[in-house]
Amino acid sequence: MKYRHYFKAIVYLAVAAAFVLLAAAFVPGLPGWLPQTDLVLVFLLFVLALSGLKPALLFALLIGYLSDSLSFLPFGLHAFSLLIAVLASFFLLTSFLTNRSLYSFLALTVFATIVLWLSERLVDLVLSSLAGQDSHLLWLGGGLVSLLAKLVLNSVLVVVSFQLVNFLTHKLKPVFLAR
Amino acid sequence: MKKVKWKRVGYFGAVIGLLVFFHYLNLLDPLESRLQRLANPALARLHGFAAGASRLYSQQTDRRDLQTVVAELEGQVNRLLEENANLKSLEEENERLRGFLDFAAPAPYRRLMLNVVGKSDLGQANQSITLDRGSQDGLRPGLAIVSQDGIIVGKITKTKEHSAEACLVTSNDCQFAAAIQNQDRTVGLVRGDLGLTVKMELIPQSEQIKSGMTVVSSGLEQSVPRGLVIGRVEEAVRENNELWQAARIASLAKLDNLSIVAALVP
Repeated sequence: MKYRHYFKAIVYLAVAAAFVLLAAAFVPGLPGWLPQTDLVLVFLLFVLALSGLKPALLFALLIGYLSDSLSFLPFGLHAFSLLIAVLASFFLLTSFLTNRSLYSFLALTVFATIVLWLSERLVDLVLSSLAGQDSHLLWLGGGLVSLLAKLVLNSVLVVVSFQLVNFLTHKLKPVFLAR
Repeated sequence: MKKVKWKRVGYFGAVIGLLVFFHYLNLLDPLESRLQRLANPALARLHGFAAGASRLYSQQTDRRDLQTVVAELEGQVNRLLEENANLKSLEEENERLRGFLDFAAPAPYRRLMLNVVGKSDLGQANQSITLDRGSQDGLRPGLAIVSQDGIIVGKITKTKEHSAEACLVTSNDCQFAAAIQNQDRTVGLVRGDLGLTVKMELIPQSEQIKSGMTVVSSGLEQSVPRGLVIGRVEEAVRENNELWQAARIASLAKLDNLSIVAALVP
C-alpha cells in the first residue's frame, strides 16, 4: 500500500517535470504563433475535469514550483497564478458547466485562459512591487495580443485533446439511461 | 454542486507561500541549483528540436524570395572582399605600430559557447532568451552575447548558478555603447525598439548618417569589447527644426531561431 503512494508520487513528479520542460523549452521555440499555446493550463483543465480538484491542485503546485525554479520571473508567480486559475475553473465547472461536453470544455478553457492571464499580471505586480522592481508582464500591446493568441490556440488544443481522450477512454462519453 | 474544501486549498496556498518564503531566504538554493543542472540538457535538446522546426518553416516561407536574396548577397560578398583586403593591410600596419610603441594589446576575450534553452513570451515586457550556463561558469550581468557569426545578439541581464537570462538587442531594456562607422565616428547609445529594431538617438544634426553604414560596439562599456557588429543603419530619422537626429538600425543577427550563442567573457 505504501509503495503505491510512492509510485503515485513519482508518476506525478515525472508528468509535472515533462510538462514543465515542454512548456519552458519546446513550445517557445516553435514557429509563428504556436509559442503562445498554454500546454500546462490545458493539461490542468483535463486533470480537473477527469480526476477532480485535489490532483489538479497537486499538479498546479508541482508544475508551478518547477516552473518558478527554472524561470527568471518573480519566484511564486507561476505557482500562485496556476493555483488561482485551477480554483476559479473548479467553481465554473461545478456551478455552471456540469456536463462534460466539448462546448463546456471550450467555455472552461476560455474562462481559465483569461483568469490565468489576469492572475499572472496581478501576482507579478504584487511580487515586483515587494521586490522594488518594474513589472515584467505587459497589460496592453503585446499582453493583449498574447491573450488573444492564447484563447485561440488553447481552444484548438482542447478540441484536439478532447477527441483524443474520447478515443482512448470512456470518461467523457455521455451516459444514456435506457428505460 | 461539489463544495470546495477550503482547508485543503488553504494547505496548498500555505505550502506555496512557504516555498516562496524559503526561496527568498536562499534556503532552497541547493535544490533549485540541482534542478537547473538536471534540466539543462533536456531543455537544450527540446529547444533544439523546436528551433529546427522553426528553421524548416522559415525556409519554406522564404523559398520564393531566394533568388532576390542570392543576388543581393553576391553583391555584398564582392564589396566585403574588397573591404576585408583593406582591413587586413590596416591590421598589419596596426601591429607594426604597436610593436614600435611597445603598446600592450588589450587582453583577449574568451568565447564561452552556450545553448539557448528558452525564450520569453510575447506578453512579457522585454524579449529575452534563457541560456544553459550561469554564474558558476563565469557569466555575470553586462556581458555581451554574440551569434556564431560574431554579431551582437544581446546582453546578459540576470544569472543563476547554472542558467542565465539575456535580453535581445531589439528589446527595450537592452542598451549598448555604439559607434557608427562614418567619417564623424558618431558615438552614442543604441537601444532596442519594440522588439523589432534598434535605435540610436540624440545624434547631432551636423553628423552625416547614411543608410548602409555599419554600427559597432564602441568599447566604452567595461564588459563589451570594441568592434563587435551590432547592425546596419536602415534610415536616418531627422526633423528640420530639431537639434538631434536618430538612426534606425537593423540587427544583422537572426534572432528568431537562435540555438547556439557565445558569451564574451573577459
